[in-house]
Amino acid sequence: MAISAPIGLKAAFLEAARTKSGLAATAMLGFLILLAVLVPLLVPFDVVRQWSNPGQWSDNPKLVPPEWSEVFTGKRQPRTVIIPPAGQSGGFDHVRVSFEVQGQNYTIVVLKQSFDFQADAFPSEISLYMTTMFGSKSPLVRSWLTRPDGQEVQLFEDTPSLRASNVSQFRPADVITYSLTYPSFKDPSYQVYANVKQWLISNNVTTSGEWGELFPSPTGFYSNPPKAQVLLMAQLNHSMLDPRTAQVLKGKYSIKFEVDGFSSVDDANARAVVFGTVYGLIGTDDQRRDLLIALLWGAPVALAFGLAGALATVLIQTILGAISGWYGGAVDELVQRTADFYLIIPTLPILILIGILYRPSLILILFILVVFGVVGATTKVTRSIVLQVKEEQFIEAARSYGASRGRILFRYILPRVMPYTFALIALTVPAFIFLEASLSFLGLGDPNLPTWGQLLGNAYGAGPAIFYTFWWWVFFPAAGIIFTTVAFALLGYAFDKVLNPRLREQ
Amino acid sequence: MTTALAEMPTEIGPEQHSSNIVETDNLTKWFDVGLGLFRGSLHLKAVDGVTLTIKRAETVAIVGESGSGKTTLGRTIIRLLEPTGGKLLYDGQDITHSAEKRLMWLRRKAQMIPQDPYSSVNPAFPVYRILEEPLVIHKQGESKEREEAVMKALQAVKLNPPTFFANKYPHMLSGGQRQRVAIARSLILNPEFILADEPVSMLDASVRISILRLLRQIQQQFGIAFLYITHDLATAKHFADRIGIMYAGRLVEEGPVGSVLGEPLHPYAQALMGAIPDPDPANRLVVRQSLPGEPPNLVDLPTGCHFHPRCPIAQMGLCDVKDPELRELRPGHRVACHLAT
Amino acid sequence: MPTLDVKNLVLWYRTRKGPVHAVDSISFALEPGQTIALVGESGSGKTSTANAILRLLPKNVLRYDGEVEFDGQNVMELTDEEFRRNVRWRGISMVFQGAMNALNPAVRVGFQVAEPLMVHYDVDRDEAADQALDVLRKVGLPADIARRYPHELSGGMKQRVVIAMSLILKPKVVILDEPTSALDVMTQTNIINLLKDLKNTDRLSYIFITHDLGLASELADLVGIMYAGELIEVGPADGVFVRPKHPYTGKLLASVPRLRSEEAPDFIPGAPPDLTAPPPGCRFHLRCPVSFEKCGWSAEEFIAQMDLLQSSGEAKDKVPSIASMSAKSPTSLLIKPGANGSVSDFVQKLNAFVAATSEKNRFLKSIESVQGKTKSVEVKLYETTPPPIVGTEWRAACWLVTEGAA
Repeated sequence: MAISAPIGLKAAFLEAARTKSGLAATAMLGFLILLAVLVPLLVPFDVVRQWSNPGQWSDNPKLVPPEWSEVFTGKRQPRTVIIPPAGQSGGFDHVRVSFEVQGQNYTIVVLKQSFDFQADAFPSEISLYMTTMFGSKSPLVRSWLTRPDGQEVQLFEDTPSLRASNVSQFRPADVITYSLTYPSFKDPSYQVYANVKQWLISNNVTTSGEWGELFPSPTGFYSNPPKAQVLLMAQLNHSMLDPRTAQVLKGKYSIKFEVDGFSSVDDANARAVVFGTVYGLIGTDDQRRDLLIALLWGAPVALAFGLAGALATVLIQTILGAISGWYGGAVDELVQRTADFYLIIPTLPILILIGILYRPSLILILFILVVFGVVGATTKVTRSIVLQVKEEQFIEAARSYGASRGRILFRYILPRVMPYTFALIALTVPAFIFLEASLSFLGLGDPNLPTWGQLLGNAYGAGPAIFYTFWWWVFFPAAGIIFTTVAFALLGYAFDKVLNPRLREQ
Repeated sequence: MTTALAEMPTEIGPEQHSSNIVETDNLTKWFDVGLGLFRGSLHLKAVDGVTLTIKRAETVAIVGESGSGKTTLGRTIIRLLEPTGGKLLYDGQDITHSAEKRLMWLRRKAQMIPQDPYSSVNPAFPVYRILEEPLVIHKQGESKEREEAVMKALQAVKLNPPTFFANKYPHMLSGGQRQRVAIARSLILNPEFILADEPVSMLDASVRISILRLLRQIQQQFGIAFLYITHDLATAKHFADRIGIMYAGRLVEEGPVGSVLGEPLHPYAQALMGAIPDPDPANRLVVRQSLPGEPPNLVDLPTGCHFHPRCPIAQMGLCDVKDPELRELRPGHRVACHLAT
Repeated sequence: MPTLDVKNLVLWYRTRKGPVHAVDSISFALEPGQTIALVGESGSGKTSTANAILRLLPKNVLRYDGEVEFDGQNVMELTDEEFRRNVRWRGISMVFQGAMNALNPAVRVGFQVAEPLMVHYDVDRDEAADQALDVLRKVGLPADIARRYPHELSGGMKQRVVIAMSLILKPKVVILDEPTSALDVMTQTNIINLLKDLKNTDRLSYIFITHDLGLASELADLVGIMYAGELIEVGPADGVFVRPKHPYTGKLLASVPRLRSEEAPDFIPGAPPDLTAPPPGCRFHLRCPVSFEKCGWSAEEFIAQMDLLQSSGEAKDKVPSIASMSAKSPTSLLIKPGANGSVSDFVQKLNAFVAATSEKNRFLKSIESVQGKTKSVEVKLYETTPPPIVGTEWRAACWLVTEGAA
């Protein structure tokens, strides 16, 4: 008993959706489409536009795994703590005293705030931010950290030369950053190591010689030196010198700045960030960017790119193939020879060349792909289907009752081809998604839009070690690509199963 | 297109009514099969000089084996193919080489019923739309009138109740029902002439006769002329008025059914008749007479009578040299054989 | 002893729509040199019967049993491997429908004919080729044909090659499945003449499967008429073709347009039944011109027929007006009389209608009793069983025949 293929797009779709792979595909695609619709509402596009602006992401920890990854380590990982500038809620307490001594005006500003630290691991970084206002002479800025055990450690001294006009606003342009974790040798914040050394020696935790082994030269650290935040926040004993054995001293810490100014106008404001070791749902990259935003936005971008590319190329190819098969003769010859020519054009190398020369936008990449795909394999497939349908006797009967060639092609033949076209679209979408990912991976994608391929490319570009160690940077975009392509491949497979008589189950 | 139509008579006026609906005079249809160097020099002579007349409201059966050119003849007569030579008149009007856009009137008056019930109607359309299409194309009536016409056509082919069948898709119907839909489609424009190309050859015996009876009934009810193309002499005998036998692109014998089958004059017609068994237990005891060899290659036809290499009575020097003319040897009964008397 | 004795052969398929009763309890016997023609419409189970005999089964077999005795041995008891080695092609071979178009286009026909020899008897290539040449000559092909490729041959020649392939192992029974269906009339005649000749010279037994009664009569000593998976009549050709016992055989013979008779062919109303749900009782009763109460009408069929009668128009005013019908059991149904009819009125009208038209509307004969209830009428139908196939040499499965024989 012959089971005929369903006729018409709707029937084919309904039947395809009932197969196992069709069901899976429908569920997966439904999820993707829902995501694609919701993402622009949840994460405004403005956020994505700032993707390449490093200032946007400076409060995020660098290259940290997702928050939920602490279930694997079993340790409570610290979240990022931000102490905002004075004037904001929870910000630094600000005390300012101006006075005059012997005709000379002085101002003292004290900024102080505490935070509670209960995590089992050390913060990944500590950064302090300062903005100062002064007269002709730079003020003297000093800062201290007070630990839960009552110990007070001086962090650094500085005489900042960057003059702000208004300290309450804390404008980024007026702010000096003191990174305690990654100071360069010239930075005032490098003093923290000298101060900590003095403090530890005075507490008999280390000796000058041992310290010299930890920091053998002022220009370089050896493999795994203790960072400032470890030394500052560990329990005070010898184990703190090795980050692997150092124990977190839990409790209330406070950060204090004292600014001694030499005029009556002097004022200062400060901000502090104690960076966590985990972030968000899927972590951050080496530019401190929240990978979740890129992952979520990757879905609509990949869907739109894949669908637009597949729809455009497959539809154009279908119509050209149908015309070629139906009209035959010189038209057929022209289309088929062009298709042969197009099939041997190496599209990827050309795209790479264009990518290197022009760094095209996503839209332009799409356009180029469509231009290189107006004829191709689908043209040939459609032509062969049309050649089959053309021989069906109702076509001849239609000619005998006067149906025009155009009517027969567009009303009778193309609707018969559409289910196959739809299957081909479904199977072509992954190709486009992969192509975009490949280009982005090679660093030739649209630099302004985060795509899954680009995330992978960034991860790869950051070096092979990073590529293997920082799994979240690789895993999630790769999973996004695989999920989407598998969804479309399953849909295409379901269609194929329904339409291809040889695959139809008995 | 409208201006072109305006120049031409789109309708044939009543004064032009001819008693012959189709007349062909030495009609030929050759297909070019040459490739490369031979392009234009090698022809497949599917129809090679057929002179045939079909009167109004009569059924003419064309019987032949595959490759005899019967299907090509049918397609050429309704101008799905353009004749290579000869003359083709429809209702007295010469349409031998008319351009397709000037044939819209013919597309209304002449219809066809295809062979294969599995592809004779568009599987993507419901029955209603299948039947409405010709009316839409010929811009006939408002949708209400078209609906009436569709229902009437369904009733005419005994698909009752028509509203039940109008919403069905072809795959929900049996082979016989699909052929009825194809017949209804051929009736919807009130044609004068219908080409039925093996309309029942793919149906079961029990259904076949009901379809042929229906065609016969329609012919009598609506006065439509039929060209019934078949390989089956027996159905032709029971459902046609006249019968033409084709061999290798030519009509070898033609005349009233009774005369042709009662007294076949052409050796090929005689062999054909002898080759077809009626159900009879005595058949198994005898060896049936048959012809040796195979029908000729249509690209390289024998000279003279196309049948002479297989003919049991061929005379060399005559049959292999001279083309036989159709001669009227009995009343209305023409034979193309030098030796028939 | 018969060469082939088939007893109660059953083959059902599993499909998405339910079990297909393709072959339902078929029995026949073939003496050496005897030919049986299995005739039926498409879907009547002819080819499935052949497949069941040759054990060529698809994956979706639901039920496969019965006895097939070949040369006195019940081959159904053999393992698949034994069957393949000793029976298939060596004892019973087959010419498949359309096989001439399934010849391997890249292999010379001589080798294709010789191949079974090399597989079954481990004969070396040259000897196999010699024997193949003999068989090719026997089917009327010139010797040089062995070196040709299938595309160089005409349809008739290819069909002869296929027949040669079926004969190469000298089987006793050859199954011919529509061996001439794709061929022209003249070629068909030549092939039939060849088969006749082989039958007489080699004492071959054929199972000749065809839908064409005329062709069947060319070869058949026995005729088996198949309908909806059942063999409803089987008997000697001299009898079945001349005075058929089963009404279906009669109608089938009457539907053949004859070249040598002026008798107009008649058709059988309706269509063959769906084999996933064959009708109860006699499977032909819905289309039978002489069906009566024993033939197995079910309540559902009764309702469908009544609906058809009401909508047909011609009998509209004569059919008692009906509001609704529902089946209560396979053999009883409830009818609610239409708008202005009381129950007793309706019973009267229905009885009158039955009396007047049951010769034409045969399903009305299945009414055993009509009983008026409070708001509706209960119609009880006769309970029946399928008719058994009766007779010895010439058997038919029809209640009318049963009664005649008894």
